[in-house]
Amino acid sequence: MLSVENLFKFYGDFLALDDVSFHVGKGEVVGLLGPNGAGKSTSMKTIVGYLPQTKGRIRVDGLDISRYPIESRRRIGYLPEHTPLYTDMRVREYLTYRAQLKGIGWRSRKSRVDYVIGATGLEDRERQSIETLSKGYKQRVGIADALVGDPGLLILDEPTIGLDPNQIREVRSLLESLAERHTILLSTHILPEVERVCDRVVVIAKGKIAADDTIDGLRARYRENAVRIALRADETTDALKTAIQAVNGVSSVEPLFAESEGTRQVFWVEAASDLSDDVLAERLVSLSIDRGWPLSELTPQRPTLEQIFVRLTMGELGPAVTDDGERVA
Amino acid sequence: MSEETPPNAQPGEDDVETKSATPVADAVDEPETADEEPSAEAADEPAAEADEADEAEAEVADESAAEADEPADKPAVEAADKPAVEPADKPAAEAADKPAAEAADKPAVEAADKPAAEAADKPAAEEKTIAAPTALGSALSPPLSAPQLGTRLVGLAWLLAFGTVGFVLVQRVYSHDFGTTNARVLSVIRLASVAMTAYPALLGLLTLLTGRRPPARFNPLGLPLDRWWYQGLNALTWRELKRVFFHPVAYIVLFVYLVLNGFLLAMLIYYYAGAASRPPPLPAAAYLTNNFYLWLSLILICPALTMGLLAEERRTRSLELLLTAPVTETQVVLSKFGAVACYFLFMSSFSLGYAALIKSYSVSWDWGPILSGYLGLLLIGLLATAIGVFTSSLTRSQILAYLVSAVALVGMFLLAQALIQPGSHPVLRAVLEHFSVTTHQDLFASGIISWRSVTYYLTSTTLFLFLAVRGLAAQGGR
Repeated sequence: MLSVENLFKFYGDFLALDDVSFHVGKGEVVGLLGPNGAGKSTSMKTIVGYLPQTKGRIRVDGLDISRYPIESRRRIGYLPEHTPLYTDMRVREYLTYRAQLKGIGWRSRKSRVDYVIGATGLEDRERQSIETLSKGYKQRVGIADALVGDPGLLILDEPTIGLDPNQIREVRSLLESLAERHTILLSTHILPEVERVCDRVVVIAKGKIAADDTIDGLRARYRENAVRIALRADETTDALKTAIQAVNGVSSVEPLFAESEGTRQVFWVEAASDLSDDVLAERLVSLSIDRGWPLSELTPQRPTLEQIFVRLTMGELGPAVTDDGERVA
Repeated sequence: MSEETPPNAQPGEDDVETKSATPVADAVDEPETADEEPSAEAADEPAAEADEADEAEAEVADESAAEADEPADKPAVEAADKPAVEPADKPAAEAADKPAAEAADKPAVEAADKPAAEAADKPAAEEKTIAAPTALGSALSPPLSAPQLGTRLVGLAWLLAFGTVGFVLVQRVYSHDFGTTNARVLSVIRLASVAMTAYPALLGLLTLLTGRRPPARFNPLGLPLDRWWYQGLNALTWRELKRVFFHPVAYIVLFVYLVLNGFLLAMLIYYYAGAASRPPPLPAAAYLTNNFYLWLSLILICPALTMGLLAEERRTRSLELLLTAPVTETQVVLSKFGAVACYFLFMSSFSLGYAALIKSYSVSWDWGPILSGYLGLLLIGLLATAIGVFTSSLTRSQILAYLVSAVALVGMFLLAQALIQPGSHPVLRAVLEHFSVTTHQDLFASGIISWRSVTYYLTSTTLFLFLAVRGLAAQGGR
């Protein structure tokens, strides 16, 4: 549906996109992630043909967007970052105008506008001036506008930015319903949204693709291979540490909280590279049973998407341990 | 989706279709305009210019017979060598071009990664079914293929020819004794400029009638001529008309216009009532379209009407939505221009009431100079609007757009006239006269529809619209 090959974009001397390539298959929902200024909006604006690329090739449905700008744009519905709308128009009037602009013939225009108004829940606002709409409703009008040309590919630049939690929830469920019929490329900062909606994520950092994988794939790739364990034992921290270190397959042990003896002690245990964290967990359980140390926590470390995101986009600069004591690697 | 792909999937079929249609239409069009033109001018032009002009016009009439044959010939010649080569060559050439272009695109690293065969196969297979590229705006990024480059060069040559016509006409102002040989050359140029203006319209008409887009080589300027193009233009123009006519600025502007023209009417009444002993140089009503108050009001008004057109879209970023819809920059510019031009027509029609008022008190009355004066006024309005659209396309600040176009209009309306002094160099004088609106409007207001003036207005309007399209396509403000 969409293929981006070796995309470069210079703003003057500044290299905004550096050899970006990715592919979105038909029916996929792909999230474009990255910190501010990483090149998300630039790549989206380039894909929809608003900014010309310095180099590289973008194809929508097999159409090169530089050679067939009109034909390819007809296949794309685009929601820009700040949802600019003609505020002097009313909702239905605006959508009808946009439908006409996108080449929906007069016969099917009304039914198409009715459909998008229904799909985005704008029925009770259709005669209201866009200027007076709340931000959430403006966002819906923007999404309705992206939908009205019946495009195969939806490109949504931060569809939930600036919305309150209820509105985010509404937009998210709207996106879920749209995912059944459309291919979607969306950019966002809100990671839970990505986890719920997207099949796949493309992470951009400093203009480069940092990762392009499914969420499970990313989790597997950035697995910590470590276990967090909490024990209650009448031993010193050092003695406990030595005991754990002696378990077969442990490469390093680190106490996370310096708590007094006899209370709960938490350790971060890393497995040797050839050992999976599941096996390590089993061995630690048998250790606690053997020694009679009550075990209150044993967590194989599965990184959250947020941790993966930070790791991918901040590189080595990322913090080693977050505020609540969790390691981010 | 499939119904939306443009219809000319088979290049061979299309060539035949349009080829047979074009010469016929051309042959019909050209003699017609040649006939009309001398009759219109001969009737209107006064004795002073008539001797020089009539000579040329007589030539035109002769020439038209010869000229009428030519268009029939030319395509025939073209048809003889081109289609024989093209249909056979095209697929091969296309296939050969594209992988080459693509290979050039890709960084060396990538080329090693991907099998070359894949890169070569894919585009050829996919793009064969898709119609020729269209919009002017597509000139931006990838290196042009050879046929594309050829098309652009022809387009450039076309524009140069346009400029040359203007230049030659300036020359004509400068040296009044062109002689018979040059008059013949001139008449050929006139016909050429008629053809250049009529040709795009003709192509559009043909496309609408046949439902097919003509092949690219008949459309060197890259006008995207199809149903979608007109539908998009229609949608945009309606929107712009609503915005222009329902905007408070429109009525402030109308107020300023009517007040300033009211001053003029008062002055005319005063002049004719008090100083009737002096014979007026122009018929009273002719002053309605040729006076200082009018220039003043246009300098104030036209930039105000056009300043927000594109600058505001840039500022509010709605330009992003507009240009990512399937429309070209050309359509956007034309729709904005068209809407303001309609408003200008609406506004200037109000002063026709003054003409009716003067008529009811005058002894003799001639509608001729009034109507030709209004034609001149409309042409001025088109040019001023085009300049305004252009300045508005360059910036996101409405104030800046207003000031720049107002300064340009001051130059055209007042400054050029002020610089024309008896002692100035003849070439400078000729050029200034050609670019000064008042020189042309003096003719229009006294009932002369001069070909030179019409050409001046239309070519410079086209030029500024073209510049506005380029200004809009430039990525600076995005």
